[in-house]
Amino acid sequence: MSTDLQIEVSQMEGRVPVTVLRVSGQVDASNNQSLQNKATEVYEGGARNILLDLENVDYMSSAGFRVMHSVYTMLKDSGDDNSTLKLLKPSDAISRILKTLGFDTEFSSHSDLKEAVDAF
Amino acid sequence: MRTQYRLTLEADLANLAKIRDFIDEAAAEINIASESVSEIRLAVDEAAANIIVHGYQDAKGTIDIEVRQEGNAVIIKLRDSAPQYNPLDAPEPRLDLPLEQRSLGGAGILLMKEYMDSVKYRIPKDGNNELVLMKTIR
Repeated sequence: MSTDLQIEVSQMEGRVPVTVLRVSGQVDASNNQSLQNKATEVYEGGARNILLDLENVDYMSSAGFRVMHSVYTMLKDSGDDNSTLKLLKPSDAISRILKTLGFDTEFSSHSDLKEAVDAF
Repeated sequence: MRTQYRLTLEADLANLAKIRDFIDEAAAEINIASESVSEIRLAVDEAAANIIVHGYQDAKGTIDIEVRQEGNAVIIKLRDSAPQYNPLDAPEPRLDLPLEQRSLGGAGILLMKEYMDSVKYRIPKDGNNELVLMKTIR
């Protein structure tokens, strides 16, 4: 069974430009590197405000959260104080883990795309 | 209806999805509530990923997973032949530090302990490592 992740990149404009990574599939230790690679690629292309759209992610293990942590840190270390990561439509299971790992106090989750983009 | 389910497979990250499917199938036959199934599925994935990444590292090997119902609990044993390694010894994430100051590892163990009622490591007679996860299901 293929566990490849699909990641679509798009650009939105709120108060600042926002790069949206729309992820589809189940994120685990076999495929989390592809998400990390895509995030690094957009960052190196100049992205400083990244929205992870998780609407189509029905499972994420700690491997996925490690990527979120790494991307968050990369943005924080960028030298731009306003650079950050936000999440769109995480499932209840993912939201619970965000709370357990203390990620929910570091970056926000949103249930609406426009609201998420405007929150940057 | 069986009360014991067993899967042996190559310790390969590409098999994590297969392991999750196996847990889902066994859990459905044991009639475990879906929220508990999600928790068990995650815990077993974390345990297996640790065995593959930290136990075997780049070496080949197998993982043997047994799921058994015992009274009102489900017991899952993961056995492997990687060099002896207790995953419970690894440091847990420093939740007291700001995220950007924390090292990346340890979340898997934290989630295993959060979602299972007990997580124990032992060295079995016929292998190198055994992790026993237990959760009350009724």
